[in-house]
Formats: sequence, C-alpha cells, structure tokens
Amino acid sequence: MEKIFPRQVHIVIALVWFVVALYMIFLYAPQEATMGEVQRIFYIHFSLACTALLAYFFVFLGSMGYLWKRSHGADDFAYACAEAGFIYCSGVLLTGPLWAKPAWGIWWTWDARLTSTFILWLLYIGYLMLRSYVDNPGRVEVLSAVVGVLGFVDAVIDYMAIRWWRTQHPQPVLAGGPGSGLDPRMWLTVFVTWGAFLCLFFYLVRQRMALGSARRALVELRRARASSI
Amino acid sequence: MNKFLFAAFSLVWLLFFIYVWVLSRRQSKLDQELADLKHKLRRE
Repeated sequence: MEKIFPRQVHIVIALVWFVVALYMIFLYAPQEATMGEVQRIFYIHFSLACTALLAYFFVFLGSMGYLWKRSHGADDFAYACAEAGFIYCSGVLLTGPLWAKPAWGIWWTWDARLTSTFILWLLYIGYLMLRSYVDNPGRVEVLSAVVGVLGFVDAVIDYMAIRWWRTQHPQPVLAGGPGSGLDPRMWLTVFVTWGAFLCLFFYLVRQRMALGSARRALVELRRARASSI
Repeated sequence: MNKFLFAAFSLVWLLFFIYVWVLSRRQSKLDQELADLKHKLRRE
C-alpha cells in the first residue's frame, strides 16, 4: 500500500480536497432560506457524524477480525479507527451545539439522537482508556475487541434514532424517504466535504496503524534482546 | 461571518491540528526509542 499510494501523497490529496470543499461550502452552496449562513455548519457536522459512525463500524469489523483470526493487523486497524473516530465524534459534539443554539435556541437536549451520539463518544473514550490502562498483552486486545463488538449496538441505535423516534434533531437528509433532501448544489457540497473528511480519516488511520505496528516491532526487538542477554 | 459558524470551523480545525501534533510527537518518541535500541545493539 505504501509503495502504491504513499502517505505523503495521501495527505496532499486530502488537503487539496479540503480547499475545494471549503470553496464549495462558502462560495458555491446557496444560502439556506430560514437559518442563513449558520446552516453552513451542517456540511462539516454531517460529514463528521457520518465518518464517526463509519469509524465505529470499522472498529466493529477490526474487533470481529481479531476475535476470529487473532490477527494483529485487524487489532491495529480497530485501534486506529477508534482513535480517529473519537476525534470525529468529538467534532460532532462540538459543532452540534454551535449549530443548535442559533437554530433551536438551546445548546443541548437529551433527545434520542443526541444522547446516543454522546454514548458513542463515551464508548470511544472507554475503548481508548481500556487500551491505555490494561497492560497485559493478549488480554487487552481481547477485552477491547469485546467492547468494539458490543458497542456497535449503540452505533446502530445512533444511526436509526431519527428514524425510530420523533426527535428535536432534524429528520435524515440521507436515505430519509419522501420529503427529505436538499438543493442539488447543497448535495454536491455535502458529498465533496464528506469525501474530504473521509480522505483525512483514512490518512489518520494509516498513520496510526504505521505507528502501532512500529511500536509492536520495537517491543518484540526489546523482548528478543532481553532473552538473548 | 456569523460567530457560531466561525467557532465551529475554528474548533474543528484546532481539534485535527492537535491530533496530528500528538501523532507526530508519538512518532518522534518512537524514532528516538528505536535509535537508542540500535545504539545499544551496536555496542553489544
């Protein structure tokens, strides 16, 4: 992968993509009629939220992969996705209230979507704390994989919350059925912005995985050295 | 520019910059540890 698509090229593509996305958010997408320019928060809020949910799906896949095959690659992937997913989920919880205050008049409400997103953020924290504090090779991977698999239930509830219940949070714009949707220029801006955030996400995951495998190699080298002395 | 819009974009970029900075610090630390280990192995 590194030879075909080096990480340096990857980050340059992500940055150029972001420049295009910012141009589209501020200069190409039309102004929303009722909320005005504050609605432009939607483009980053939506992209961060979709990526945070997708990240937890990857954590779930990596965790299943580890439990099934005991593959260190799958574990590194799950760990990297959890760390990047935590950053994205934190972004969702920062941009959400900043949009809610001018749009709804309140910073926060405990409705189904907001609460399940907050729980997802806590799950990310729990997963990362487990990785940091349990210092028992073999056991920490299994425990975190179990959290990764069980926590996926909340990611599903989070995704479905605005479909299952009436919430303060708006109804879905993506796959939301009749009546949902956006101006075509807004759609294009949504997809370009989400693409930029996804591109950055995969770069962060690659960077984190490289760090994880280098750390593992270092630990093994140290162990080999200690046993040879 | 609307203050909420400005705050949302600024905080998100700040968040990502902090994370990239943390990753690069970890990478530097790992490189240092690797260099130390190589040095020790060469001496042995």
